[in-house]
Parts: sequence; structure tokens; C-alpha cells
Amino acid sequence: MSTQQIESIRQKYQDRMLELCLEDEAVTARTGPPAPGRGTRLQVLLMLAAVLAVALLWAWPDEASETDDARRLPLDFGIRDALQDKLTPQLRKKLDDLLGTTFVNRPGIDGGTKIFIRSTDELLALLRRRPVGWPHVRERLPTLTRARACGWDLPALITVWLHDPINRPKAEALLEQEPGLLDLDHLLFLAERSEGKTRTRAEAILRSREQWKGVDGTPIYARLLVDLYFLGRGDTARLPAVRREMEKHEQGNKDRHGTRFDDMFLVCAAYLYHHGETRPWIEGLRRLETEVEAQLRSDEPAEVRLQRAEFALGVARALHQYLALGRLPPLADVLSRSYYEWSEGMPRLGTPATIRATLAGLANLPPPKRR
Amino acid sequence: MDPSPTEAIPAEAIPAEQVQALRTEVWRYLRFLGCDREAASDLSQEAFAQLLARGAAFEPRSPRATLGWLRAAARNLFLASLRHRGQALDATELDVADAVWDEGAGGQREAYLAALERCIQKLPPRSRQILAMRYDDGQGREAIAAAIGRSAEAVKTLLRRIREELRRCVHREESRDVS
Repeated sequence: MSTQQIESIRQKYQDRMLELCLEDEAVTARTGPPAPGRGTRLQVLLMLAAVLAVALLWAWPDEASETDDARRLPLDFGIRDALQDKLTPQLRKKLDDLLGTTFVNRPGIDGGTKIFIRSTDELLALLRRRPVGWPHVRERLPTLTRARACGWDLPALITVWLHDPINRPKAEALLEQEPGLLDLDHLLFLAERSEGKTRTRAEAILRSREQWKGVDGTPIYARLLVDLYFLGRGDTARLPAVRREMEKHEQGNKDRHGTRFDDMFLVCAAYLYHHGETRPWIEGLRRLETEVEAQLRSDEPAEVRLQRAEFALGVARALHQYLALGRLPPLADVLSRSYYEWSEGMPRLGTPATIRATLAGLANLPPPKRR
Repeated sequence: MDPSPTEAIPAEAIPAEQVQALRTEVWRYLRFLGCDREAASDLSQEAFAQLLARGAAFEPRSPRATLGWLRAAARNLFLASLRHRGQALDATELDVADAVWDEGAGGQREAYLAALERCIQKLPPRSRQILAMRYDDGQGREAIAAAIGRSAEAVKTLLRRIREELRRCVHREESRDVS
């Protein structure tokens, strides 16, 4: 290399140095240091090798358990930094609160620390509402190879892929490459949101599996969901199976969490309503009324009582919206984030009177379609 | 200056404020080599992860030594990322880049920035205005062109000339400081 060439290279890097200094100083003047190294000592240490973990979608946010822990998704901690710069102060605080108050520490893949978020529903809902933040997340989603090498939670990663159109083809490719990685909720999502070959393949796998894992972990419950899916697609031969499952719920009057009211009962009722049967929906609302009344009359502070009553109503209100439009609620939504997000996204009702009035109004639906 | 495989650092061994400073420095170095912001963030994180993976037997000698280790790790990661994309950086170019880094903002950042600040103050008001619009306000060439009534191409040329002037000025200032 000639002296002239070397001098030319030298000038190139001097220019770059100058420009970076100009940029960095400007950034410093506006928003603080340019590198993503802000925070407390704990945050800084965590940042060194931290991997941000996002819990899988299917879990009530206040019911963290060993099973929940096994289904968490670590993401690069840089996501937080990227988001910090993009979100409004209010949403940034929310994310801070979410990350700051809900993590637990444990050994991470880099010898550092993983952070586990309890409520993925909230984080993903946050990201979806703020499209500006989502690109930063999806650009950093790992490939399957890298995720596997690092021991990440693959089902959780696939779930995040599915919710992003850019990454969804990766999940679709698994239908042929590694269908064993796809959970029931993944397959339902692909079957409901895709067409053509992808849907055909997803439906074939749905039919082929007799035992299902995932969601609530009970094979019967999983089979019910498969029956509901095909019922939704017009396979009325599935009606007796769905009715039988409803009867079990009616007899036991306990849901899978052991509480008094089962929102899945309402989901089944909505599917039956769509196929001309109104009684289960009315029965479901009656049970919901009992549940809502119990919440409203509990010993909790007024604010908590209202919040819980509205939360109980959330699924029914969302289902009602679908039924009022003559449409069926997508099962993938029911399975994944929707319970929480639906409730979160609904306008607040505010008083016991409006809650009761809304509940009563849920019975007002157009006549069901006879099929 | 390849990272030694025998060194090991527990995370707690480095004070937090030092970690922050080191990370910022590595991030800047990667940007200097040609990484965009996101890649620099990823690779600097990766370099620290490598450092931490060394184990718990390391006794930090000095921030400078630790920075040297991290810089070498970051450079190797950057070269690996280039190879992954089917690109490469000439060894001589890398040496020249490192020399520029050591001479300038990398090694003597405060002095460099002070010289730069003095040079900016010496610029004509119009040049300072354009510089502020570009770097303080983050405006693009089109926006600047519209604001000052010139074409975007003219703004590009103006900015290039301003930077050339600043580079020469900083060099003079630094030479004066040394003498």
C-alpha cells in the first residue's frame, strides 16, 4: 500500500472520528450519554450479560409458578435500551416499572443474569400499542439456531415470531421442518391467520395429534380447543363433543384454575351460539353474573373490587363484540394474550351500576346463525 | 492484542461506574470502526459477555488494561461480523484506524473534544449554524437546504468542507498543545 493510500485511509478515519464526536456531543447535549450504559449499579451489572426474559403469553399475570418459569423467553437486554430512547416518558416509566419490579435473578447463559418478566401480556401489548418500539424488538429476535444454542425457550420464541408479520414466516417454515416444536396455540394461530398450504398443513397436524401439551396441560381441554376450531370452520360433527365438554363444566362448576367461573365455558358457549344454540350463552352469563357480584361484594377496597369485576367481564365483553358482528372469536387470541389484553383494552366501566348494566346488556345479541 | 484466555473477571470485580465508562468507550470504538448504533450496542455487550465468561479468578489490573482487552475482543467480534456478511477489512487499514483512534478521541478524548470546541467557535456564524442544525438538531440535508435556501447537494458540500476545516484545525490545536 502506497503512502498516499495510507494517508487517504488516515483521513477517512479522522473524518469518521470527527463526525462521531460531533454526533455524540450533540446526543449528549440532548439525551445523555450515547452508549446504552445508564442506570443503577444493579442495572449496569445486569446489562453486562443480561438477557431479558419475557414470559410466555398463556398465564394469568399474578399466578407465576414453576410452570410459568419454564416458559419464559429471554431477549437481548439491548431491547430495553432501544425502547428507552423511543418510548414516551409515560410508557418508558411503565416499562421501567415492569422490568424493575417483576424480575427475579438466576444464572444466565452468559454467566451473567437473566431477568424474568412476570407479565408478557403487558409487555407485548405495550409493544403492539407502540409500533415504534416493536421494530427494535423484532430486529433482535434470535434465529432458531442461536436460540437453541443458548438454551432459550423455543415455544415462547415461536409465539413472539407469530405475533410479528416479519418473523411469522420462520414459524410457518417449522410446519415442514420441525412441526414438533409447534404447540397447539401455535398451530391454531397459523390455521386461523393463514391460507392455502400453511393452513392445510396446520390443520393436518391439528388432526393428527391425539395428545396435546401446552396451554393448560390437560389433553381433554386441548382436544376441546381442536374441536372448537373445526366447529368454527363449519365441521358440525364436532358439536356433540363440544356439548359434552360444556356439560362437564356445568356439572363441576369449576374451571381449570379451581375458581368458580370458567371463561372457557363462555368461549364454548359463544361457538355454540354461532351455531344456533343460545342456552349455553345465557347460562354462561348467569354464572358470570354470580362471579361479578362476588367480586363487587368482596372485602377488598372499592377500587380493587371494581377492577376485578371488570376483569371478570373482559372476556365476555370481547366475545360479545365478535358475536354482535356475526363473527367467531379467533381461538388463537383466546389462547394467547387476549384475556388480559381484552380486559386492558376495554373502556373502564367505573361503577357497580355500569358494570351490572353492561353485564345485562351482553344478552342482547342478534339471533344466532342456524347452520 | 488478543484477549488472553487465562484472564477472568467476576462482574462484581469492576466498579459499576467503571463498567459504564468502559462500555461507552467500547461502543464508541465500534462505531469508529464502522458499526451502526445497534450493531455497536450488540457487539459491545458481546465483548463484555466474553470477559465475564472467563471465570472468577481475575484480578482487575487497571481500567486501561481492561479496556485494551475489551477493545481487542470487540475488534475481533467486528471482524467476525464482517466475515459473516462476506466482507473484510484490510489489515493495514485496521492498523491505521487503530493508530488514528489512539492518537485522537480514543486515547485523548477530553483534549480532542476541547480542541474541537475551540475550532467550532472559530468557524463563521453560518457554518456554526449549519453544524448545529445537522448535529445538535439532527436535521437531514433536505431540511437544512430548505432552511438556508440552498440545494441538498450544496449542503452536502458545505458540511464536507466544514468537517475538513475542523479536522485541520483540530490537528493544529493538538500540535500546539503538544509543543
